[in-house]
Amino acid sequence: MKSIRVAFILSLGIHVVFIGVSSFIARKAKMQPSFYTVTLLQGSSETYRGHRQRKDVTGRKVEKKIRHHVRRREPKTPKKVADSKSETIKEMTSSSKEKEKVKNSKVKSKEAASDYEKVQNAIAQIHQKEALKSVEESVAEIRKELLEEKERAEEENAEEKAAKLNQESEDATDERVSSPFQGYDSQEGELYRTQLWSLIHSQWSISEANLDKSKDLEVRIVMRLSKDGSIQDVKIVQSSGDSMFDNSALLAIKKVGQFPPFPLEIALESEEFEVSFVPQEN
Amino acid sequence: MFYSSKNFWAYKIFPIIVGMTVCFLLMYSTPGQGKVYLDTITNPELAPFPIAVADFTSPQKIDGQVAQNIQRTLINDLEISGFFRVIKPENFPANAQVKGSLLDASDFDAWNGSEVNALVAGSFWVSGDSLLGSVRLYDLVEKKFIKGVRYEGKKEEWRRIAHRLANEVVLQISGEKGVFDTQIAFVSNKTGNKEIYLIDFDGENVRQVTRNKSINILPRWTPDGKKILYTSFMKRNPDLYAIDLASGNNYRISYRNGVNASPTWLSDAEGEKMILMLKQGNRSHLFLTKVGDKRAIPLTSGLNNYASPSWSPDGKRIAFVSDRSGTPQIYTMNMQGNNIKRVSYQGSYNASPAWSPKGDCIAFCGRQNGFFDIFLATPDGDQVRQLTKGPYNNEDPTWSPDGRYLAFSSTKEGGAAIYVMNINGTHQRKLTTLRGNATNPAWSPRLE
Repeated sequence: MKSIRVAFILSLGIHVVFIGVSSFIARKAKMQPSFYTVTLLQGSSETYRGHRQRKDVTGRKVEKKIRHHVRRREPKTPKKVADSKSETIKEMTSSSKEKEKVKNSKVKSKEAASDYEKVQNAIAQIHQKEALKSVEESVAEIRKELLEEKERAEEENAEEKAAKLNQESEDATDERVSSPFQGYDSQEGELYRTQLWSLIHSQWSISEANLDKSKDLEVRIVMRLSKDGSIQDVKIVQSSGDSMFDNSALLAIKKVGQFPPFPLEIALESEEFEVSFVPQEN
Repeated sequence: MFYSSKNFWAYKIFPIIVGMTVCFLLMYSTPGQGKVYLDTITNPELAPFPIAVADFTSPQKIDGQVAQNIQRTLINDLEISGFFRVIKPENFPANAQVKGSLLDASDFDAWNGSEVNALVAGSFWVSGDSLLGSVRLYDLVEKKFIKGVRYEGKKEEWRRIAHRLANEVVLQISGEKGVFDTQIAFVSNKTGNKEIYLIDFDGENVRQVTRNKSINILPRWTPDGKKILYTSFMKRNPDLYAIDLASGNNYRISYRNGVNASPTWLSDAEGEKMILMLKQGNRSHLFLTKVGDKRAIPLTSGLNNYASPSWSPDGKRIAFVSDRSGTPQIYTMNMQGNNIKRVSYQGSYNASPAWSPKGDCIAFCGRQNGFFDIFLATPDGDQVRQLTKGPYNNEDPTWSPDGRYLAFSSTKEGGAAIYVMNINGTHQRKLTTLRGNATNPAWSPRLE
């Protein structure tokens, strides 16, 4: 359980950093006037390349950006493009194909033009093909990006929930990270904790007459141990409401008396351990 | 701008801020202060608390008997409480020397490895008419002195001193004072007439309270523990009386035509109040009266019967029995007689509700397979638990003031007798051994 929590926190941290960094890159990208790159062709390829650049960066709400570009190009492009305002990605693809058709027809109508123009047209066709390719590529990439985006959003949601849960459990999570006893890679810490647990458990007894199993009894005790394993301080941080139950738990710790010294790997003078006692696992 | 400022804030800055905040909350909210969490510890060994009681000594040989009596009573109290295992001197470790109530640091070492948690040692002596004593409680786990108590009283009060000593031991070990000096009132027909009696928690010291040779039933304590209210036929009509235990004086406090019975008493800021059942004609209803006020305010009305009121400890609600659903069942209502909620659903006959001193449950008796048994229910009726089970009747539960025990009357051994059990149904023990039937137990409040 603990290692899962730690993993959660770490992955959340990584995501947060990722979001932060990526948004800075996004800002830089904005400065590039990529949409205004002038080309020989009327095709939209450059514009979409521009998209691709921007989209890499933010990964967020790609659709909206695309929408912006479509609008901007309205006066230049045939109406069909303008019509495709109700943008899903699929529509985007189809609209760009339509644009290509329009361009092709234009090319055909200018058959009587000069050789230079023919060459130009040929070049243009090649470019258009390339452009089409690149549009398709970019669309595919946008799709991929959107999928990733979705996954990430889901992950983030889950993590936020987990974080909330953790915080609700008495802001305990934050503290967990900071002790070497709690580290997910600390085998010595884990071993030591298990030792404490079994020592206390072996000393815990309570009279049956006093144990009302139907009640949800839980007492939480914090004890501070020196590095030599001696008890510095024991206190109840949350009473069960039943003084006999509370005392039985306190007594269990006192009866252990001397705990084992801290593992050598853990260089702490003292550490606080919290343990809760409940009569029965549910 | 390629992005409206709205989008910019919504999609760029906001997540960053949220992310950073979460990050900071997670990582830096309590810098330095680490706390390590162990897994939850469950399933304790079920064993009573081992406590050693040394022989109580006496400077004069002549008083030895008193010291022994006190020691015996203390040991008995601790054992019947269900919470302790008493280690007597003959079972002490060989080198454990306990003389008087003083223990040296070296004396603790003899207990190493003995698994005994605590030790009581003391001495008592008589001076003229008075009894003096000094008792000390030691913690053998931490090897330290916990508490010393001095006692001074009349010679004949030794029993009470022993009970108080037991109370003190329980207080020191559990954090909550014991109820060993409390008493239970009950009705016995030992003399041929139903009279009210008192008995100590340990089943000793039975004494008769009423001697009017009529019928006296349904005793109830006032919260100060100085008077017992009961219903008596001494003037033909079943009237409600109060008897002052110190003086023995009787007071007739409610004598309306019909039955005046089963009062539940509350002392609060408004003064002394009582809810009792009045049965006039064929129907019984609940009424609220205040001390010094002759009026009786009806809390219930209608064609059904209402009986056996029991006040919740906070004084806000009353548990009672009513046949408003056709069969007698347990209900609760507020002080205006409104907001009635049903508590018991199983069985066709549930009666004698008693609200626990902590307010968390209501004890009652219910009929199952032709016999009455004791049940515990949460005040909302969501959880019901059966405490007794037998082919005999267990009736009239009453709570100890610490809420750890219930007394009830049972026909386990033929005639009805008063029994006490822990509230999880364990450690049942017979309290009364009088001839005839003992019924209607009523546990006293703490007696100071």
